Amino acid sequence: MPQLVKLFQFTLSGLTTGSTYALIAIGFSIIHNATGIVNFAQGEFVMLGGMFMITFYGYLKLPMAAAFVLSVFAVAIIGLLLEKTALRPSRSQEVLNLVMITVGASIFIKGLSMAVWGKSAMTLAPFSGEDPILILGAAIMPQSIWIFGITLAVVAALSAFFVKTRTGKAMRAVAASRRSAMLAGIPVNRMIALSFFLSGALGAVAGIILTPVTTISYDAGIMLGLKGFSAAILGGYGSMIGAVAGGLLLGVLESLGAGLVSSEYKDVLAFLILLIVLFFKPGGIFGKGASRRV
Amino acid sequence: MLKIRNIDAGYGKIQILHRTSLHIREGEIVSLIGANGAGKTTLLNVISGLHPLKGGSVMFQNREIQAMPPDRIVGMGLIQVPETDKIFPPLTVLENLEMGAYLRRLDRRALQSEIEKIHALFPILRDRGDRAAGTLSGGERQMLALGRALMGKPRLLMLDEPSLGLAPVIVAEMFGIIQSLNAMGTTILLVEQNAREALQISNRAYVMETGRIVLTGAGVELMSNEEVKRAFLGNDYKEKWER
Ligand SMILES: Nc1ncnc2c1ncn2[C@@H]1O[C@H](COP(=O)(O)OP(=O)(O)OP(=O)(O)O)[C@@H](O)[C@H]1O
Ligand SMILES: [Mg+2]
Repeated sequence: MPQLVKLFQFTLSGLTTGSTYALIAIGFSIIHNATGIVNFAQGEFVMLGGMFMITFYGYLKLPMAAAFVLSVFAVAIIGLLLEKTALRPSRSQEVLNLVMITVGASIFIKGLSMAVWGKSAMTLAPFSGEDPILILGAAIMPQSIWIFGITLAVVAALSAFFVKTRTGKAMRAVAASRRSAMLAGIPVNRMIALSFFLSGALGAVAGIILTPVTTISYDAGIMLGLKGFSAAILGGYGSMIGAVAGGLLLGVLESLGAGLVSSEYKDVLAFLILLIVLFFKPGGIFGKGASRRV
Repeated sequence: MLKIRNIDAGYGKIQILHRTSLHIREGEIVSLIGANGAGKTTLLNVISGLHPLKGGSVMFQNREIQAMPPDRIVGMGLIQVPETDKIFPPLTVLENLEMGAYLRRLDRRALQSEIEKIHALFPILRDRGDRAAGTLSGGERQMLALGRALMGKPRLLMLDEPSLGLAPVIVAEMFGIIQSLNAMGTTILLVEQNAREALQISNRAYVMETGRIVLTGAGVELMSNEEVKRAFLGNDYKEKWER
């Protein structure tokens, strides 16, 4: 019986980190759908979200909700700037070149963050205390509930946005065919800019809710980005349900692997899964089987 | 209404359009005919702002549009139904139509009434409303593409081979619809390889050969032109038609 409780405990904590992977993965997907590129700065958005929250909430003592909104907005604007100042003006619009620009941007953001926030890891107090809640013998931290709730709310809001609103439909139209979207009169460049704004916001949310659990430092972006990327690949790159399923699954597998085997291999597991998926089912769980080049 | 002067355009180093000029007056149906690879699609894409031009100018309603982004050109009422890639396959039929009116910012009721008009024209689209557009047949896709273009309230509608791949019955229907759209006030530029039908319904026509306009005149006039007959209304074509 304690063994079962242990499994349940690992699964719960896996779902917690998995939720944030899901948010990061959705960010990757949104930009990929709009532009066809992989945004290597996605992980930096996550790191920045945590850093801004620490600054606004931890240091400047703004009310939590205000600090949250402000941090999300700040990173969304950084996403927008990345598109407007680095990607849009690029003479070459070749996918590979654009991807390299995001790699450069990621290094730049990391360096700047080190200068601003220093090298040591920082953390944030959990949003509502640290007294665990017991469910069926497993302990769940209040922060986990925050993470589930916020992730659920964000995913629901995004789904509604893409299905119900004129702009959301236009973004799906651009993903389906950029050329056709132009001929329908959809301002494609504005939709691309919006995709960076949204991905920045999503990354920030992930960083904000995750920081109380894991701490954050200027160089945390790469690992988080790669986790989100693996989750997106696992679920089927470009698909929103895929990103959520991939994120949760990756989180749980990691947590089970760390708990039952060894935590040393926790990060390796994500890459192992990434490789296995790319090798055997490049379309991911929700993919159509055909691989799409990135 | 549309005046194209001395357009040069191409892909990389290969020049396709050579000083192409043509004009369309309000209310006309003008067709552009020419063999495979003549450059008809390239010309339409230049007009729509999808393809850069190296020289010349495009005037629409007395304004130069060659430097405008595609969405502004659509906003002016110059709308193309392309030859390929004409719909959004993962979006539903209804959503496809709605996207055609993207720039018009209609409220729910106005949008609904515009969609009703399209449904009246193409009843099949009503039945298919909630299906993904990618599941439609070729003919249905063509109707959806035309319906989507009409949702944008075109003043000048450019149709790139609307009869391509359609069954003969549907081709006839399509030409009928084009004529009635024109009768209701939409100016039409029709690109076709089905030269006979196109010329029959056109006020005027241009013949394009390897990126150059080589012949122009009234539609019926061109039908009796020896060269056109040989190139586009040739014997084998005629036989196929009469069978
Ligand atoms: N993307 C492209 N890159 C390079 N060459 C192209 C491209 N698109 C078209 N071409 C070439 O440009 C020429 C004109 O093509 P275009 O599609 O404009 O002809 P078209 O008159 O529309 O022909 P069709 O009747 O087959 O539709 C052709 O020789 C074609 O091979
Ligand atoms: Mg063509």
